[in-house]
Amino acid sequence: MMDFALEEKQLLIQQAAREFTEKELLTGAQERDINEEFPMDILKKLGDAGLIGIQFPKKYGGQGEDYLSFVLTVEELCKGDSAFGITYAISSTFTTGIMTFANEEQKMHCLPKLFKGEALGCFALTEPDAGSDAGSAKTTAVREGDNFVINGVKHFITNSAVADYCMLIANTDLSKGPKGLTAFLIDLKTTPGVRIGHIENKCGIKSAKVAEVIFENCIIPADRMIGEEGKGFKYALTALNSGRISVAAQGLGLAQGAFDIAKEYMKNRKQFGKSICENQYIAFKMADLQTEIDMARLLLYKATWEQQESMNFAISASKAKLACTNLAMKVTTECIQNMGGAGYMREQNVERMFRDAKITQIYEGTNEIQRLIISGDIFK
Amino acid sequence: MKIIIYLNQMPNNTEENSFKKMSLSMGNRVLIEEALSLKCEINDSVTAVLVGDKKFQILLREAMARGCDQAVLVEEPIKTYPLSFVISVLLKKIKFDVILTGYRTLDENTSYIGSQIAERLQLLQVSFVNQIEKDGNVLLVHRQITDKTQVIRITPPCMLTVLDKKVCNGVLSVNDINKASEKEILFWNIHDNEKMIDSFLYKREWPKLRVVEKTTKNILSNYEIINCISNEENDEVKLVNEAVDAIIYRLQERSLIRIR
Repeated sequence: MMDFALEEKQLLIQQAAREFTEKELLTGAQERDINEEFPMDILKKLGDAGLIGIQFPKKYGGQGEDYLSFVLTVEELCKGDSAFGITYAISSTFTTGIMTFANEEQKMHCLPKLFKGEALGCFALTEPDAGSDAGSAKTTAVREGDNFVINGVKHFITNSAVADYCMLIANTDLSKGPKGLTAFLIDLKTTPGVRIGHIENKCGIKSAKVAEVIFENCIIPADRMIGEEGKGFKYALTALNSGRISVAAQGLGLAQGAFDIAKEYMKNRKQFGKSICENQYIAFKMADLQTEIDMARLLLYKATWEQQESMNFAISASKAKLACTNLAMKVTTECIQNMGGAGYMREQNVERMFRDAKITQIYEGTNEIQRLIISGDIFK
Repeated sequence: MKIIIYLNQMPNNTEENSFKKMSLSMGNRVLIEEALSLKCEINDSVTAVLVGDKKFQILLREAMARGCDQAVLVEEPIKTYPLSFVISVLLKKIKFDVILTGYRTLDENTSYIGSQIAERLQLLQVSFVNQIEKDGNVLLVHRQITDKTQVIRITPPCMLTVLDKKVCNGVLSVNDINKASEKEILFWNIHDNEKMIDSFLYKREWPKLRVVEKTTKNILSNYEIINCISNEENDEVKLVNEAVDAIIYRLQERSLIRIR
């Protein structure tokens, strides 16, 4: 018989993440959304609680737990503040790339600091002319002796304005197209020739800093190249597959968080002499939403399980991302509607979740790209 | 000081989704917090005891992640009266100075278990405790009674029933969870070694309730009320006091009671 129960340790880590969210994230989430500031101090506390790098080996300062523990943590953090949750998750996508493809020296260079919550990572692939068509990235890395000289612009890079490290995908041979793409580890704050350009004004995830990263004759030593030359696109896609699972977890956290708030509100709000949840029309809507949340959760946990078991999880990750993020949008929209005017106001937080939910359908591969991957698998 | 906390199975009902999880209730967390505040020397230890089947192990694991040194699961799904007997047999085998139980002491909300254990072990018991201070080997215990707080000096061993209050202990950390996972939970099954208890537990007819003489009277010298502070009188207490005065006045008027 299949076992759907979480293990004891996974449950305790989920509990730890939940307590962290309640104690550290919930109270300031609205304020951070208004001021658009990322709280580095809370990140440090998250590191102190041992919640960063859960799924990575102890040797580098991680916790050596499984990937599902990480997914549960993202879900819990995103219930309270999904902008913080996605910053954490994107940093983890960077870490996945480094952990899988970088050499020992490169790992030791950045991972311990990341896991203590003293630094953040980002993942720079997207360019103004290379969004969903990521293979056509035009940022160049030209070898000059023992160095590479990098030129180009990456944009919409989550975390870049506050991150210390970046996994950059640049082209070392434009004539080869995607096969010329190579991955590099960049110290964003200390390398000459790198600067942060325009910081984006966004609809949601306002306290997550998304910005342009500009490379102007940026010189990095050749030993900062990750893995082999020309394999960057493959590395990027592998990191993105894991990233998709964490964005799916963000979507699920948003959906569950909004659902919980709406549920409490509907129990307490009285109209026509009774709680509004006693009206079957909206109560049934909540029944549908909860059913769909459970469905999406199963899909996400299954994809995570496949990843843990070293199976080919790309298709499942795409399905989980598609289901969870569409669900986030649907649940937040319906919850605002069920709560009426109050749902539309900042104080109830669902409005913020509604704005945050939209981006989950777009980044880490738009949902159209996910459909492309899934349909490609169906008709292969 | 060896401290034992008696946890209950009361669920923390804040959890929502279908992957339901069990976690320690606030009442249980208060006990852990109070126990940890008494633990200040190297040899001090806190042991968490819980009655239930194996699915409740996670509560003990959480208790250890929150700072308890060891945990015992008593696998006896039985009612209050024999349960206090089982627990008292267990506790006779463990060295302890203080036992802490919650206000709603047991899983059926009967609140008897603490008192029954105290009686069986011939321990002093203070209930409605809202603060515990340590003064050398002696405890200063604040006991909440309607509108007053008694401060009681008590020499362990003793049993304290602690009121629910807001907990302030920190967030669980993954490092603590890892350490707790490496520790072993002791399983204690009364049938393993206590045949005579076996017959006691499964007797068809329970002894009839009878008032017994307080067994603790010979140890009352360890117990002294040293202070009694009136709390700020709130409206509710004021109303109750007025009502009591009015009733006493009427009863006196009709010569039904006489107050010296």
